[in-house]
Amino acid sequence: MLRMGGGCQGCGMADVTLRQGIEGMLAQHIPEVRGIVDITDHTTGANPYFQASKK
Amino acid sequence: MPRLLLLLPSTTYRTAAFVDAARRISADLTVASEQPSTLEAANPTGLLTLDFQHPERAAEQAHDFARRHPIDAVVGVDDDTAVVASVVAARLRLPGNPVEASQAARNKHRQRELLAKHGVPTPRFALHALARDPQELARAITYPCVLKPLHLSASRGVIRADNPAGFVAAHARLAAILDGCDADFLVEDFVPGYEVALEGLLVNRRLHALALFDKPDPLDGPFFEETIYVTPSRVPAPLQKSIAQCTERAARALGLMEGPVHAELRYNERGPWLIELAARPIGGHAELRYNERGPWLIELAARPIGGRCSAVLRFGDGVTLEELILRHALGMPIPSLARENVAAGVMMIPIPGAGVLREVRGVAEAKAVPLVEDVQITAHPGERLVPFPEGSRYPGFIFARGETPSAVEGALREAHRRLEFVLA
Repeated sequence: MLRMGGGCQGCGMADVTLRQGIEGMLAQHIPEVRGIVDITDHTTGANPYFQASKK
Repeated sequence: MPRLLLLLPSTTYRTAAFVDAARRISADLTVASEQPSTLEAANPTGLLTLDFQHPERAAEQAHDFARRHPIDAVVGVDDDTAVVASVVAARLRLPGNPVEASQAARNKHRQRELLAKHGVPTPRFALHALARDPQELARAITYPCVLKPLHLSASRGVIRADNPAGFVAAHARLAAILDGCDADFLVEDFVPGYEVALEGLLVNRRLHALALFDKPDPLDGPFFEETIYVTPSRVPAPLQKSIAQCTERAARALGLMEGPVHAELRYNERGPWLIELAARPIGGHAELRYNERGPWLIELAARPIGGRCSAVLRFGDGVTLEELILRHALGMPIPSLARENVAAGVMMIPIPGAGVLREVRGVAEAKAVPLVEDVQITAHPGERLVPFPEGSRYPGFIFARGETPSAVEGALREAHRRLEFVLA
């Protein structure tokens, strides 16, 4: 389980960072890791790096 | 495994839905965005930076990438990336919409020109230069009218004017919103009536109507903030068929061939081609008379429904709209295009006012309303909320499912009633 912080918390691209970045790196270095669950509360982020902007 | 190039703007709400869908269908995924990812060097096949502002340049960048990592399909998720996707697809010789068609869908004036040329009922329109004297222009306009920017999304900058004074005021607001981004704007007749939205998928130019949404709250202006979408629609079946036919004609007029479309249409009792209506719009006992010319097409976009609204749609045994779109793009079998057999709805929570969001109260109480599945607050504490027409970012979404559209609509309204936004 992973909890994001800083600009990732609430960021529109957090899922890409997790799935296309962190998850692959972890799987490469720790093959036993089968997947990651994002337990971040993205609704409470106060300063996301990229805010979602569309309806 | 086939490789999918997914074009995700860094500010979209749709990231999780599309990334999850790509994983479910076991596609090799490359996510392209206009901002470089910090982790791009660690996963050079999975992350890519493309110049979305310049589609031709993005196509060259994608072509370079595809020489090393062949791509089987490219999908955009919003108005802008739908255009980029078509340019990239053409460069890579992949299936997709013709570039001219996706550009026409993105430009409200070009879209109306093509719709009018092909006889699709659409409001009377005219293009005007923002620099032109609004007082002079106001004297030549037919009222009520609607001022529209050519490229903005989510009804941002769309303003109704009922008289010359209203037009001049609306013009000033629109000019401030555009702030030099566009030299022209659109003025079209205001079409009163009941509005619906059709979500569809084009497969080899044929439209498959996936869902028809009622918009039970009146959209009479002066601004056009959306609220509730509920499906299935309560309009009679013959009219639903007419709406789907109108949408398909519009898609053909623009030259769209493949992929998702989102259309917004109105019907009323006015006009030569139109649907005559004697209706009670909310509650479903609409008594409609209509003719063979069908409804008015207000907007057509070569993309799926906006924001998080797609979460209300499930097909077959639970396939999401995003999975369906990706399966179609990659030529994979689609289990079913039939929506699940329950009513579903979403409320785009109205912007409660101008100010800095301090707190949202009542979320747990809103989630406790029967039939409500989720309440997602997407605005962040400290975020400045900007009402329409200058703003367009809803502070959150409410989702509900139930046996009937009326029950779902009632649940959405009750949940919204329990929310309190504290602004400073």
